[in-house]
Amino acid sequence: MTDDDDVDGLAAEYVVGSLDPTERAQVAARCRTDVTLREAIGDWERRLGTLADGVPGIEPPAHLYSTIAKRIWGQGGASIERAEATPLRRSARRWRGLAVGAGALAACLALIVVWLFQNSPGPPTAFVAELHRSAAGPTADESARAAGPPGFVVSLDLAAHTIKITPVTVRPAPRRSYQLWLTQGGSAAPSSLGVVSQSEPTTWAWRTLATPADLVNATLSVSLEPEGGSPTEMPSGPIIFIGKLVPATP
Amino acid sequence: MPTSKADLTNAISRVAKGDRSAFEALYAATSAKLFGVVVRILVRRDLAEEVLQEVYLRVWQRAAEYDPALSSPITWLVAIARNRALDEVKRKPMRSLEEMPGVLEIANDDDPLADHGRKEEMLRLKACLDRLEPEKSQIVLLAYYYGMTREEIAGRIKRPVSTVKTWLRRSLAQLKDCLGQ
Repeated sequence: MTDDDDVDGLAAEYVVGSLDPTERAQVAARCRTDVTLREAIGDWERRLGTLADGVPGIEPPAHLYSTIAKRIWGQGGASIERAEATPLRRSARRWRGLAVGAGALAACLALIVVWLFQNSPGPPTAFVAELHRSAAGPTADESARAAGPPGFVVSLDLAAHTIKITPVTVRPAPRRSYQLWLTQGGSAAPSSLGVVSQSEPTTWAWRTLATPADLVNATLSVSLEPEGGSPTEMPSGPIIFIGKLVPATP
Repeated sequence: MPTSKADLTNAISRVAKGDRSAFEALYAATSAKLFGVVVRILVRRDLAEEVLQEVYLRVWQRAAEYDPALSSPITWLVAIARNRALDEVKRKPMRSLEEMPGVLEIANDDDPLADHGRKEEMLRLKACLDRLEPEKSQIVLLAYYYGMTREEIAGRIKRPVSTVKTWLRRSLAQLKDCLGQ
């Protein structure tokens, strides 16, 4: 049936629901490579979509949401606020409050992170990074050694699928945007994680496919871009902040 | 609770950025609708609850793929829910088809999630369905609302499977012509 010439008819039957399990699976598989079929399915979903409108709603059982939340955010699903109040987060807040002594605190954080790494069993599920001014050195290591307080701190929680970047000592760049990039491995091209707020923490869902092993020592960088972000898939402006991801425990 | 098209679109884009409260609000606004759709197809509540969980996991994971230029938020959500329910019902066809109501009509409840434009769209679709012969619009609705396969429909209306296939394809093509899109 996957050689069905009537692509539109096949798409229509897929959406209306009348295919048997084998045909349905075949169409779903073919969809991955067959753009025409995929678009036809999208069109049929739109055409028939309003049929579902009048279907009377049924309240699902009250406990279902918390079950879903647990499946997404883990057992600590109810306590994402708690997870955010990590030493890193508190440190970040203190950095923002204290101009003097910020460098000492940054060094302190680095020690905490190393300690957590050495004492955590199993693959790490949480990472942090300090992003330092890249003018201090062309690589993440040199920048960190040379610089004072970080410009941004980043926390990545693989269990909660979130990544958060907090500006610490960043000067606002009017009509420009800061954009965060991830580079895995030595030679790989950077991939955009998104445009960063210049004044408050930004949190995104983490959807990058990477194992914890891929992320140890992956490099994060922030580039200065036209407002709204780089017009291309790559950084178009200078890299201003750079740092490495290191494992932590949330 | 977000219920307008703009509210739902906004909630989905915030979910795409990992906003948990937006996800909770989206769930509150849409879960009854999606559960209703899923229960119709699966009948069994325990299966429907399991499927609904997976639907919202997908919504969380795929929110970034939602394109408001391509479909309305509710169409996108319903498509995810129906797809998941259809996969499930085809895998474990355990419903008793005799329990399904004899004659199906387009459900016509006043839907809080449907704005004026969407209601007009639905009326147009209904008018096009009404132009089909009754037996033919029935088979379209049996498939859409209950996820019945051609064979199940054939058993139900006592026609050969090949006839059902021909009728379905022809009816759906006529619907497409009638809708002009």
